[in-house]
Amino acid sequence: MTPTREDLELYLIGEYDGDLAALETAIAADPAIAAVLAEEARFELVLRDAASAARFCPACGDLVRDERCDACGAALTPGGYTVERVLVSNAHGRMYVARDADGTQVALKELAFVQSPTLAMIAAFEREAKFLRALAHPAIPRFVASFEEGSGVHVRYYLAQELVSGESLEARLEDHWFTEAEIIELARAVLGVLVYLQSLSPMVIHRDIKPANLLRRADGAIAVVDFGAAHVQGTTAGSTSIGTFGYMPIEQLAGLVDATTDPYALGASLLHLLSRREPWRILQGVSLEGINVSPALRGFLGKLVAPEPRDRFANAAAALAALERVARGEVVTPNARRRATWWRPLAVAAASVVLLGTGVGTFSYLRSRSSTSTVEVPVPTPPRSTIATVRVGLPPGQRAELVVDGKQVAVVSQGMEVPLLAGGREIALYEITTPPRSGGKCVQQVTLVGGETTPIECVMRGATSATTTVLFDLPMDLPEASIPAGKPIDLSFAKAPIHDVIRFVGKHCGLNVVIPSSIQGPVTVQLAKVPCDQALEVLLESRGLWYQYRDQGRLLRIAPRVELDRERVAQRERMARGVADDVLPPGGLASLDFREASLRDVLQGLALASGVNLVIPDGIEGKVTVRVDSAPWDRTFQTVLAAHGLWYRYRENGKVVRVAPRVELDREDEDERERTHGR
Amino acid sequence: MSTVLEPRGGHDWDAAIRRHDRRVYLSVLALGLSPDRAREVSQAAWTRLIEQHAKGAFEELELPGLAIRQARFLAFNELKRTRVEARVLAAVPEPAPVPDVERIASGRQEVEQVLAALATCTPTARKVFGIVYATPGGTAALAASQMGLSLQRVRQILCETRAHIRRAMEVTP
Repeated sequence: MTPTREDLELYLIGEYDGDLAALETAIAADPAIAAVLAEEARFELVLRDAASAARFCPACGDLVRDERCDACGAALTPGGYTVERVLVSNAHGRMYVARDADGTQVALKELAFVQSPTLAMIAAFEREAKFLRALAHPAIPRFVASFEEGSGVHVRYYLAQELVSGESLEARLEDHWFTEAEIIELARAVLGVLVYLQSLSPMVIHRDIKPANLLRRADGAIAVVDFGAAHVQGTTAGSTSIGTFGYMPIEQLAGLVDATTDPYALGASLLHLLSRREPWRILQGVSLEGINVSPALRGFLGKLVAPEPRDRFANAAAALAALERVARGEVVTPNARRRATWWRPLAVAAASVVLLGTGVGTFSYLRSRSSTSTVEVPVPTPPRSTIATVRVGLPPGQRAELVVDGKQVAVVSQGMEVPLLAGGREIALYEITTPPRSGGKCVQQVTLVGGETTPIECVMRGATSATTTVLFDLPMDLPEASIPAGKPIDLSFAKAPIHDVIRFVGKHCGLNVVIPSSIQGPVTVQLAKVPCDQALEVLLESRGLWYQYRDQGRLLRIAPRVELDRERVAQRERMARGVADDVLPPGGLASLDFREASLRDVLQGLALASGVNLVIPDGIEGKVTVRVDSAPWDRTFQTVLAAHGLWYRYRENGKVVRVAPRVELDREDEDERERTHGR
Repeated sequence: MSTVLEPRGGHDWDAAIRRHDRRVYLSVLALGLSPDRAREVSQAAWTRLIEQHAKGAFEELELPGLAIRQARFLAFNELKRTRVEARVLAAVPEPAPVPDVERIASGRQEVEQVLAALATCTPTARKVFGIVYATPGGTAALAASQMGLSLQRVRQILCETRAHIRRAMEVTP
């Protein structure tokens, strides 16, 4: 035979599937062929050297010439971790398997901002890092590190945690039938973790126990993962419904969680594993007669998933104690059906929204249930537990009325703590009626257990009092000012710099605009006769941007949406701490029109016009586009600073304005507060 | 993709041979030895290394570099002894006990050329190349199953990619 070059190539890479012996004989017999083979072998070695030097994307496999894959954006060595493969990928980030410098494998969770995640997602990510750092249990992945890389819209958050090798129970369900003994063992393992979480002070609630978050390790041990939904009892308002539909108790849809929440979700998960049916299908009737297990286990499961929190085990420890009795064959039965409580309509409304959003259709969770009571085993009545304490912020000497469900139950004064109870009595509608605050302001500060302070708005009732409603549904965001609709505008730009397009809109709509130079790039837009506000919103939304609008001065600041969200949270915290901005001295009106001008020059120009002395430390640099026509100088100054993550302190003596990064000033405030408390 | 074994850490030899033997074999083949002699020489090189390693001859065992140098040394002696391929001997420099600086620089340049040429291939070609060359145990069959292509198509892509890279290297000396 006479081998072709292609035959020789395939032979060299071990892919020749013809007659190998004949090929090797031909090579040995013909020096010319042997020479070609030798040449090809040398080339093959160069290719292998190149492959050793090259880096290929662990996600899509493409060649990577930088720190990130151009094709899919996956990272190669974030934070010094070497990514080996991608475990899970979705629109907002990825979960990698990576190795640290010592060669230890970790699970590396990434949240990419470029896809504009919501504030809730960022909060969940930070929450998971916070919880994992604080938790130490063999069944919970160990926290390794958390860090962020990049800046602006390119910023990514990372959370490195112990890699739990195993199979989720959801995946295991596909080819495994769980026996009663396995279910008891599983319940014991998970309840052990829940007992640990509930023994912490304050108690931690996972809020998303489900088969997908329970991993079976190779040695059979169970690990509980994904603390992105976890929650510290009593530290946050329960306005957000977090959890997985079907596994969470119905009151969780209304944002209410307690020590029975996770055991309920465990019960729903166990029912799913036993019956292989989605738990919400089973729990519609809560008749567990169809579940093929012993009466003892059936009674135990029924009590775990009782619709009313008061009918469930009080907490994980009580459930674990009952499980041990079940293992001995004693029967635990659910309590009799109870009347729906006040929060149920809220929860159903929330559920309806969820279902309508997903097109599932009607929701019949609340249909009447059949009671299966046979033998009653006494279980301790859930104690009344304080789920939060509201500390009312009042001026000294003033008092407030506390009204529960329309009835006055107490008169509270400054510093008095008002317990909000759960367990024996459901959380009720609390109204705190106070005299109006000075200056006509109607913002109440509420301190929850754990120390978090949340401002809540109150409603003025006549001239004598203001009512604050506390329903664990505290507003998370401060009201945002919207830009006026304005006259219709035509926009026709092709690949125009976004700065120019926004300046054009600002000029046309009579808005004063401030755009930091970090926002760049061309934009193509074709809009005809669209009101100013809508045109601008469409334009910004398409780039993951948003605005902050100040009515006074018609000042419009453009920034990445995620940045504005973070600022809003920080602002809320500052308000809660009672930190107020220094008032700048009155000055004239500013009129500026700069395109990508030096930030320092713009600030100095504004200071000069207003007669203040300005101190800007070295290192504060940047460029900014400003188009302002007759806007108050102080508002303009503040807007330009905010656009660069900066703020100021004003000292009247000498009319000195000191500019510094906002985080630095916050830290100074914090130090000052600690010094004051220390004294 | 090099491996460093601890002195006398004999337990990793099987894995090291599985991982690097193809490279060692190719380096001998590139000298012009026949395929079966190349196979014998590469096996002899591994055997010598294992023996020397067991005697504690190495402070540190860097693979596959040491195995390649050992195999090329044996191959060179073989070629000298048989005087079969004088032309090859003239063309191929005698292997140095350690890699010389000039050869390393030249090798780096070639590697850069290959990577530049690879960057101009199609994304599919790059991915196939990555799986076959840069994945431990990578084969055309693995690439075919991972990428949902037929084995024949993957082999064809490999040959086309090699041709593309070769052309690019000829244009850019």
